[in-house]
Amino acid sequence: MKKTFCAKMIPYLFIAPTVILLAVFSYYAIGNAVFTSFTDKSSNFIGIRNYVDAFHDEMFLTSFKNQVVITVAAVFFSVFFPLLASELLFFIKHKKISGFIRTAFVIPMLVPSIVVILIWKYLYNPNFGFNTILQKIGANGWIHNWLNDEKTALFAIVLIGFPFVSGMYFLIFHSGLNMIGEELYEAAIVDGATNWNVVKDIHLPNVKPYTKIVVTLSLINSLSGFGLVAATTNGGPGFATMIPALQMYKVAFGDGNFGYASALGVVLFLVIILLTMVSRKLLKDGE
Amino acid sequence: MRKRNRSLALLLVGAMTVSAMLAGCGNKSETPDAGAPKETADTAEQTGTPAQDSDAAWDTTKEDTIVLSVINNYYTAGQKKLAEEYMELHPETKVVVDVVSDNDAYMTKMQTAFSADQNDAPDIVHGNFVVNALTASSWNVAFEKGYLTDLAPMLDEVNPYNDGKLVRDVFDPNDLAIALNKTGGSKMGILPFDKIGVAFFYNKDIFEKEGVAVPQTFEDLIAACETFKDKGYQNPIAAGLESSWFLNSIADSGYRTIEDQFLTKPGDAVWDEATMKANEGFKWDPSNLKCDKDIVNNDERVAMYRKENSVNTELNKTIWDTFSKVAKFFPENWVGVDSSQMITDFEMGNSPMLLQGSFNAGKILDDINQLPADKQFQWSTFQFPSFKDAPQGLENTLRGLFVLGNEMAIVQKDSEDHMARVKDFYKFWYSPKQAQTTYEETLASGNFIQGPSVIAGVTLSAELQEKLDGFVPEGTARDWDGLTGFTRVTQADMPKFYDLVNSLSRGKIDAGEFLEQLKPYYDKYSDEGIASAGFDLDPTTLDAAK
Amino acid sequence: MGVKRKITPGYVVSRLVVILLLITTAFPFLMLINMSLKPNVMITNDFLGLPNPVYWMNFSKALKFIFKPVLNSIYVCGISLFFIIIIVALSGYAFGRMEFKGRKVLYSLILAVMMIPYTLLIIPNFHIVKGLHIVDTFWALIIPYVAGQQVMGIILAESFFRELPGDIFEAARIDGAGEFGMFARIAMPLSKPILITVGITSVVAMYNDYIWPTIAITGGDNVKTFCQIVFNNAAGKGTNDMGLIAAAFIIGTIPLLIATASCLKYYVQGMMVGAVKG
Repeated sequence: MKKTFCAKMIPYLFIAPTVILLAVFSYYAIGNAVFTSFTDKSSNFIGIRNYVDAFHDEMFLTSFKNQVVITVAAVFFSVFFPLLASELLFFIKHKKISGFIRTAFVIPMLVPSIVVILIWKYLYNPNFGFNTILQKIGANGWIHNWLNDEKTALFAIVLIGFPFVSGMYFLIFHSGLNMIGEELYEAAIVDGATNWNVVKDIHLPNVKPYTKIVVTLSLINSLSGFGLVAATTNGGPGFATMIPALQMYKVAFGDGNFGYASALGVVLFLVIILLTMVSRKLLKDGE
Repeated sequence: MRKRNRSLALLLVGAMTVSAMLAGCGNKSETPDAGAPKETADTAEQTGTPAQDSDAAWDTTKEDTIVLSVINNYYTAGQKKLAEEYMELHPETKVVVDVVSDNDAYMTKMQTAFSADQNDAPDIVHGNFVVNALTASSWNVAFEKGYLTDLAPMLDEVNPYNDGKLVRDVFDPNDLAIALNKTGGSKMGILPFDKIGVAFFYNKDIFEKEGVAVPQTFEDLIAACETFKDKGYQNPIAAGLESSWFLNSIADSGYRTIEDQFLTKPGDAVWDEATMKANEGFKWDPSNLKCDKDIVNNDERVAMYRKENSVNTELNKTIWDTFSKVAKFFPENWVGVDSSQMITDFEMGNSPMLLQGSFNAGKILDDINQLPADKQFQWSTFQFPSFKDAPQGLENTLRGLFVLGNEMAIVQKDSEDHMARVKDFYKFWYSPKQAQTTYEETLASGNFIQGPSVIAGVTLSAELQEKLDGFVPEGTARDWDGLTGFTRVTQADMPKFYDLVNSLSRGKIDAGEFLEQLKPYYDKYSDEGIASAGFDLDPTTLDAAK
Repeated sequence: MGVKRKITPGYVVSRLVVILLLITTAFPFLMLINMSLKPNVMITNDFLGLPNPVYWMNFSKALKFIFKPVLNSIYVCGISLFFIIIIVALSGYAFGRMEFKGRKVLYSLILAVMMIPYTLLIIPNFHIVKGLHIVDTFWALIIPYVAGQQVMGIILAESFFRELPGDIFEAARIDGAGEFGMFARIAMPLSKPILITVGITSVVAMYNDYIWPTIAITGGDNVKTFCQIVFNNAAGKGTNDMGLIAAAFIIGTIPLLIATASCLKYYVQGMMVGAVKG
């Protein structure tokens, strides 16, 4: 009996460090935030007023709309391009070349995102970068003040990071494709399958669990991060490219209004959970 | 005795690092420098008890650390140097210079530091950021809540690092009045260190090529912009957020005529005969542009005006309307763009004019020298041009800007011993010799001066002084952002404010509509300010911050 | 696979796409090098142009301040990484290959942590770090980093372990291996690729973090981390010195580059083992 009990306890021992750390650093924080979200600037309890305000806050609603655009694009790009890159790499059988290409896809990941963002900011500069190229090819009509024009700013932000072959997602798909057992291919080769058949019939179904992870991670990253927007437009012009996470940051650390910021945060948190659950459900059936 | 020798040796090292320029003011200031505190150090060593005399109000046998938390700026190298020199004089106090790279991170750091035990927060901080982040820009609330220390009493203390003179002796009373006024009128949150000026930079080559004369009047400026626009210059004036200084100057030409109603008056609760004498019976005198240099505002009276009139007044309409005539020629989203892009516009010859501060003059000079020969150009500056025919409600003459630059405040802590050390370091820094060191070190490390020093005894090279002199205006505009509503909304509402300014600048809305839409945000911010200061809107009673 | 390949249009197109993707992916990296060799004013005036003449000052400036902070960062990242890998492997294995009560709930709770907006974490975490009396020490970075970075790793590792073919474990169990034995002798060696992915990602994130060290460390230049010191020296004066930032990041990235390149070697091996056993 005793041994069984020990055996039962093993999984919990395995996850104990994780749970302890998270309890201290994360669950406490979120509990704290939920509590704070019911208070005002001077820590008086004010019920759900912050939440009511949030849903009447024009900027917060714009933020959410922008976020939808950014997230949909981010999730799509995060799956499509890294998967494309790893598929293409898969069919390159020359060991040295494929090794080189893999390294070449991974290395740019070491350039910190803030630097990449600053480079893109320069590319979008009204006077140089893309506009120089457009001018040279005579497409003057296309020249824009990309990040400072309400009409183009959000679009410009979405495209930052092209071609989106993020090192991590690339590695996930890459190892995913390589995890597929040889026997499937052998059968396919016997059937005289083309490369396209291999992709369609073997890779895509089998890579689904990895897609699910990439979708989850990119969804969460895009919803909770605000560095990209903060460093490019800071939500502007006006609040045309504001997103909830950045707005929350401004409310919290700009005004010290942690009650309202926490309310925005809790709403954001719940939305992320909901979206993640939905996306994971949608991707479930293939497993 | 070992200690004394070391101090002397260190003093020599310190003296050597100060440039030749200082050689003139040598001996006198050096002896007391180490003299007073060192003596106490010896006493303390002998008796083993905390030194109690006035020169070293801290226990020199105990080690302690003071933290200077600054945003990376022109003086950072100098501050590190000062810390080193100070530690050589006072080994028992460790001075740490903690540099933060940008404003947002600094704001976050202050919020976080003050959210926990304040005694562990940094000691010397950018006061303006603390009040922005924690008390809706009210210095008085910051004093009352005990975040920041009132430095006024320090003015009458002896500065051991300046030949035994009083701390106040190195300052022009006018600058002290500015500091007092800036930090709420009743207490002094900062001591002045330097001043920043603003001007239009212009590309002489482009002006010549396009046959445009340097604008002498506001009307000329508009005409010049129009000419440039016609000739294909998209944005005749490169401008960023700093361009609001021009708005402030326009506002000044109107508000100064009614500024007597914002002053602290005898009988007000915060009235102080010693610092506010100039207020008594003050009336704006159009013939003397400097007549208001010593007067001190009253926060509560300003709050009353804001509450009563809000932002959509006739005067503001005129001011914003006039400003929008210039802002029309600013780049798209100028209010949200960082100054590096503006400077680039000017340096690349895309914009013939640039509205910028003295703190970037050195960088621009350096940049243009580094350009390839065919891209270099001649440039100079001109002050804000006055109206030939001012709109109704404004006076013709525009006063330029010349404001205090480095706003360093001291965080209030419980330990008296600790506070004494912090204040001692502050005095060290704000003494002529060390201020000079800060400047020298700044130049030596390849940085530029952000503006002239206000500490008497600091001298700069003739060449540099001349360049900075170009920024000194005749009569200085006072700060009217609180009344024009410029950025006087919460950080949360700021993007909405930017949006409105953009719409105004692009002619999508007129000044009236702009102010109408700004009103709710402005009022909200005013009300929050009144609530947190605990104002009852009766200046004769003393109020307590909430 | 020894058959000679025919050159089909599909073949050509796919190779062209690879090259295009490579160039565009590497573009920021190439720009970084280009920028590092120009004075700042030439970066803005001729952004896409090549350095002419080559300007080395950015590197000599960066070398003056970069060493100590890089060492600090390596120290912090090294210790954090050690703990992250252990914790991720343990938890990932437990969630991926063990059955126990509350597994789903606990997993969801961990997943949820990733969704907490960072703004909500800053102040509570600072209070905890203060309560532990580790402010101004490297542990103030390490412990929160481990707590934060493990989550993504666990999610990755969980699905990896889940996808491992079950028969290896069955065989081991029949041979009498306990849970821990299977973990150490089968799962760990097989999981190299995924742990390397986790490792690279979290090291890059920690190495380039800037906001948390700014808040948790006030001890002056000696205890600053890499990213902090770069921006301290090159940003904040109204304008960024992009040339200096680029040069400093290139120098600072060298340790990461070496580490990553040598790990990718194991990456291949790890996969091979997986493929053979699978």
